[in-house]
Amino acid sequence: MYKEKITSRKGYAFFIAALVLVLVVLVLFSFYLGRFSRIKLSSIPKILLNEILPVFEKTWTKVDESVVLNLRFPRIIASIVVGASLAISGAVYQALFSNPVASSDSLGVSSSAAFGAVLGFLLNLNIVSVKVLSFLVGCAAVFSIYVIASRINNRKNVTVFLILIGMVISSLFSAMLSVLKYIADPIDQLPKITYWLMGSMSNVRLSDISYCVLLFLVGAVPLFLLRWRLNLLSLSDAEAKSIGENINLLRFLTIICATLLTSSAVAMTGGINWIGLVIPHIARLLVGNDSRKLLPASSLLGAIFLLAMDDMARSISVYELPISILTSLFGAPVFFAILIWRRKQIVDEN
Amino acid sequence: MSMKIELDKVSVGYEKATILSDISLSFESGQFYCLLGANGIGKTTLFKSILGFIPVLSGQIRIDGKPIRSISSKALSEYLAYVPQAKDNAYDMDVLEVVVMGRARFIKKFSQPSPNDYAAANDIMDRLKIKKLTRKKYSELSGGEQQIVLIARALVQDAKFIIMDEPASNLDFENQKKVLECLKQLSGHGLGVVLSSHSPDHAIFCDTKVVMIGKDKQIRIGSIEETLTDQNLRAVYGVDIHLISGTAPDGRPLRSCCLVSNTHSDP
Repeated sequence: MYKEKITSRKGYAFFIAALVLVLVVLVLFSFYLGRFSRIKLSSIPKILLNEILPVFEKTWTKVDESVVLNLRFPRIIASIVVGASLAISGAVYQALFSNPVASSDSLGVSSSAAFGAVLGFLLNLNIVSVKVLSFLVGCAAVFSIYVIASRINNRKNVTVFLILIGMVISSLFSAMLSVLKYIADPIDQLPKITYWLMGSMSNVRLSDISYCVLLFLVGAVPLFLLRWRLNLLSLSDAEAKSIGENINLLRFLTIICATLLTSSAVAMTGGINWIGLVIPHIARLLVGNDSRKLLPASSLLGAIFLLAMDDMARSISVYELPISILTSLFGAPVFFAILIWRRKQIVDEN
Repeated sequence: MSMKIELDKVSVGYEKATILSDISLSFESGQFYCLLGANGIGKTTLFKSILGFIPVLSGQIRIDGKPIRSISSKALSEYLAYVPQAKDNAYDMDVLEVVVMGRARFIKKFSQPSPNDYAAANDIMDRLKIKKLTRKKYSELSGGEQQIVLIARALVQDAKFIIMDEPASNLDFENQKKVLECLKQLSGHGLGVVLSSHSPDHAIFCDTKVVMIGKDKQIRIGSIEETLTDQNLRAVYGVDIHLISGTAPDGRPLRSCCLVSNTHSDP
């Protein structure tokens, strides 16, 4: 009954509005939350607005301003953008491969981008160069996978080869990553590498935010415009061709955009598990498989989930917890619950 | 205006295996054809070649006088629509959304389907009497209903020909009837319909022109009376088959092809 309501047009609009509201409340709460919590809730929007247009009288201290703008603002924006990026690319990879266990990492972006970052640490590059290198290696890996797959197989469905070669390249990069860790300096470099691989929003600097948002827009806007066409990815090559759709071009665009999203997310924050697999599935269960509804729902759910996990990561203990630990701890039970629920649904139907 | 798909001395198959060779025939728009042949004789391969999924080995296929190799797949979709055999999708969708997919050629790359596209889909579903399925999930339908939905998807494409690979096979009698009755309504709108089947009864039910591919790879074309002779049926299927006539309880004439048993059991 509940499911029926959300899939209707009105129910869907209400659901999206509710998610936006939850996100807004969570953002305000996230600004408030933290070790310097004495900042008055009412001064938070004022501090932010004053950055754009100084209209409010300063009733807050310099420290308050610095905490809000330099510490919390970048993490909050990054959590939203990264959560949405991973969820969107997971959703479109699931459509692309017609495979429900595909995720944002199906083409090995995470391990290759991680390899790029670790290589950067090993070469003692500065943090900006590490992120750029990570992003570039992630994109290059997917590009090579695409080229190899279409070379091997130029007639038939290319997606099976993509996933196979993606797995091979992914484990290749994992192995090379292990080599780098093995030769890294255990006192100075290895801890940095290990923490980075576990992922953290504290890796994000204020100066990263504009690139982060820009890359998100470059990847997400075309996917949102293609949202109806993404449904056509579920057709066989023959069906797609007969309705006049250039399915290979559509696949190529999808892969480019999804790779930009995942690669920039990993470069920015290190590895973050589960969001690219679990969030699209929660969205599917709630709004159905139509990409026009799935993409907005996935991105909002991804943003909310990651922001909530980051709030926990920085407030549960005195030391900040690596965020991947939390996403997995919460992601794994949610995923099992969904699997069991779906199984029950299938059994009920038959 | 009538339009033709012409096959000019065409050989079809794959790199190392020629399946059918030196075929010349033509399909006209506004006509209803049933392609009959035994399993594995090459009906599907022939269709794949006509639809441009695989290249022909020799000869030429022309549509409206133009060789299909020179037509882009987008332009080809104005001429030919294809109905595959129904199968489940990985992700379940509303029936209306499945039908609207057939409008892809009218929808710009970065656009969404317009109310016009939905109106076209609703019209066709109304015509095929599946309006009541609009809001159902595709996976909830019976095999026959799924097949009709795919036919609707091909029709909203608004092509000149609709090509169907065994649309009524693998279905029980009730679902076969649903699909075949639906097919019968298609003719007479200027649309060319070409369907393949291994059962001559499907051709009889829809009263189509018959194109037979024999075991000897010979093509026979004609009306049902001309083609479904004992001799031809034997050439096509390799066993004795006889066309029998009778009347239904309400007096309507009935015809069917019957397998002739070699062993006769006395009562």
